Amino acid sequence: MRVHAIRQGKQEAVDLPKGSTVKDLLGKLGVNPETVLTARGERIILETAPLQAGDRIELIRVISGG
Amino acid sequence: MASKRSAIRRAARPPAGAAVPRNQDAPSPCACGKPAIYVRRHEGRAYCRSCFCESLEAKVRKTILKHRLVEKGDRIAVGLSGGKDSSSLLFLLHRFFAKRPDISLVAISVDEGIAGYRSQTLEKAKALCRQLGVEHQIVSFRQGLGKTLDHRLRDAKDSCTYCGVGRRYLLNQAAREAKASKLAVGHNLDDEAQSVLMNFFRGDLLRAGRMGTLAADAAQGGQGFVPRIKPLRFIPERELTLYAVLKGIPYSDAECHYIRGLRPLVRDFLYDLENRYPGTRYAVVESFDKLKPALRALPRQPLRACSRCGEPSSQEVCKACELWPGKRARNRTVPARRSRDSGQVKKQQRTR
Repeated sequence: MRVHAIRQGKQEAVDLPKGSTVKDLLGKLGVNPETVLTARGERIILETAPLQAGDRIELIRVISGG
Repeated sequence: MASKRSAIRRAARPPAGAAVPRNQDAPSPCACGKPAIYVRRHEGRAYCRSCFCESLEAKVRKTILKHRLVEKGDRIAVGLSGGKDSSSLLFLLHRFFAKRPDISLVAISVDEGIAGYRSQTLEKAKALCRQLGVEHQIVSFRQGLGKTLDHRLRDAKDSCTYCGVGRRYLLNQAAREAKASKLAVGHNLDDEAQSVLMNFFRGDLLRAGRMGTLAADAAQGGQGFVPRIKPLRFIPERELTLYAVLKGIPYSDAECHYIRGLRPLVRDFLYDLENRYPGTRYAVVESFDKLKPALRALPRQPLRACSRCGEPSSQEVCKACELWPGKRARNRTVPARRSRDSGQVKKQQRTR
């Protein structure tokens, strides 16, 4: 299945096996789950959340400043 | 981004009076029965929106009470960059103390002069102060130190040292001029754990001994230092981001493009460890706190007035004078000597 990750306004298509979770998506992107929050649509979701084909998952980065 | 965050905040809150739907995303609900939006892995506990916010606020309140960070009659200057940490800090302090007639807040932002970065964060800082009705002062490197950071770094390399020294100098000076009795900074658990490890990696035990919820040097008071407090010292960066999103606090998520050196390496190392072993950052800071009495017993240079600018320093000449030599002629607040220098500069300019 294909889902879309949105990072800092940029969208990226990612192919994952059916039944994958947010954690699998982050793993595929090489993103440490500790460094982001994730939102589907307009709802904060946990990294254990199952994904559906066509999902758009926003990665809200935790690291900022200097 | 701001409107997106507002939408996330609205969506995270169930409609008033509505039955809370079971969130299929959550492996287990919050202890109150509502759907979880966050899991504190080191506690093994899931939190819904309202329990998460209450829990974070309770932790900050506990730190303030336990370490007596805020006392009756305090005027608290809050170092406000416009990022999520300092913005959440100002929001929380306002929430706790706005109704206390004996406690007042003033926000102080430092404009280092970093093109394409600081202007974004300052806009968020101004927006938050307007929203809360908090007095806001902005001091700049150009006015206070003689040059912007961008300009200074044309002939210098270690950006974070120049920036950190200048920022601490100006924040302390501005807080003192604002007649603040405390200077609150938004250092979070991640910052503290990183600083502990960096000081050990550099073998800088004297600097390590000055760290804490109430920074040791500043706690001495007098000597021109405004006591520096860190109410967010036990809150992870990720939780502060979530709190800012859920509460709709305006903040900038921009990252300074000068950041380099040891800190980003230590930061990534700690993130990796935290992911594998939840609770690592707490362990680092708590272990350090147990060592602190021994570190503070090490012989150290007493504080004195810098021979050039009069600001507090452990050396004859403070670090700010060493790294920012142009500041003496421009800084209004330094007493006699600086005034004379300013006069000389003006005279030279006139005779050219």
